[in-house]
Amino acid sequence: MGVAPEAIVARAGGSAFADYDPRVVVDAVNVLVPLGKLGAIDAIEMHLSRADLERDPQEGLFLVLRVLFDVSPPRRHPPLNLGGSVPPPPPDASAMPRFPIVLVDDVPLLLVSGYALGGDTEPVSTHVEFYREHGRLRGAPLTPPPTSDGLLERYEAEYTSAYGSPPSQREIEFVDAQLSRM
Amino acid sequence: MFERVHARCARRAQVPTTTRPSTLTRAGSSASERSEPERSTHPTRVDFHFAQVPVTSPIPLAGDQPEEQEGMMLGGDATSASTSDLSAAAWTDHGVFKWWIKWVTDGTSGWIVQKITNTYSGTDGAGKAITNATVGVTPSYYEAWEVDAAGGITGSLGATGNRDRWERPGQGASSKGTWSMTGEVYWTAEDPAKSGFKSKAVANAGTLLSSKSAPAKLSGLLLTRTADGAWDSTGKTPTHTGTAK
Repeated sequence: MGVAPEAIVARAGGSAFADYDPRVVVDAVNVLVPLGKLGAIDAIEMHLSRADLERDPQEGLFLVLRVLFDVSPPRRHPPLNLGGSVPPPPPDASAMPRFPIVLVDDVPLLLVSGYALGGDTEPVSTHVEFYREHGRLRGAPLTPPPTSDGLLERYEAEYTSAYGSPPSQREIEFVDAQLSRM
Repeated sequence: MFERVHARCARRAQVPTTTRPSTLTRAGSSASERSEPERSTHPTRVDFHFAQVPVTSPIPLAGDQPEEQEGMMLGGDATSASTSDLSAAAWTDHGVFKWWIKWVTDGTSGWIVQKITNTYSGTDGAGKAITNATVGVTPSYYEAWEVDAAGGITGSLGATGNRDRWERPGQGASSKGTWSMTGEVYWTAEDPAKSGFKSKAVANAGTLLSSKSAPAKLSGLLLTRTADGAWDSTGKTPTHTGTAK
């Protein structure tokens, strides 16, 4: 028996960045794409309306939205204002337009294991509104490859291209752990 | 054991809404005592009298706005600030920390201002130094929440609610170190935007109004919050312990 779309969206919304599993975002995107743009947004808003956002702001949906939608230049995906991060956004935002997500062969890899925060962050609904206005729903579901062969090397290449230097060992290990969860 | 002490009860002081003198003093106290954090843990009645006393703080106290004239409706400067947990402090592997609170204050029509001071020290799994910079942490900054006339508290120009999130990210396997956060809490009746505060100005403050410089007309210190941790992921079983109060 399949999992209900609501449950898939909820799992993505509540997932922690430190234990990020790309499959969770892939599943959420792929259950939302067939709903069409407005249907997908309605499903996300419905979920948010039922969540206790004061205690769990469903920030995993920030990642889902950045993969679910494309944005036509000159507009860009709105930056995530969740705190300080390592790595920070690349100097040229267009080098990694979905930062902190980088899509490698339809696998949404997360570059940041968490944020250093002493304050508060905007709600997911602000990004929902942005994508309602400016987002283009991706044309097809994500189709990750059957194996992770070569994905880590491609991530490292994209990182090096964006930052001008290769990722640290810790950053590589963080992404490698994600691939092992796929 | 983790030490967690939160002042949960704040009394709402009777603050005049017409002419106010330049400072508030607790009956029987000296002006210099205002610099001590007030951590009211008892809902006891405290009587205040208003007196013109020399300001000993290097920072001007709130409530001195020249536009405040007799007959105007004015807000009530905060005489207390405390916190209530939204998510209890939690220390997990590799230096991950989370503590969410909401504010309790008797102030109205003003801003809660918190000065955050951060430290980091340690080494990552590759033996490289862990510092504020390597974690993406600004050593010191200020952030503000608006308090409306009814005492409602919001952040980020109304986009966020009454919430302060302290979070530290993981530093990876085989890392080891210590971190600390200190929050010094003040009040101001003047919009911090006039002092250059902007949403997203300091990444660590998220979308709150923030700045690396203090806003004008801060009150004396109302509360000091601290959290710290020491983690060690070099052994068989990762550890992370600390205090939050």
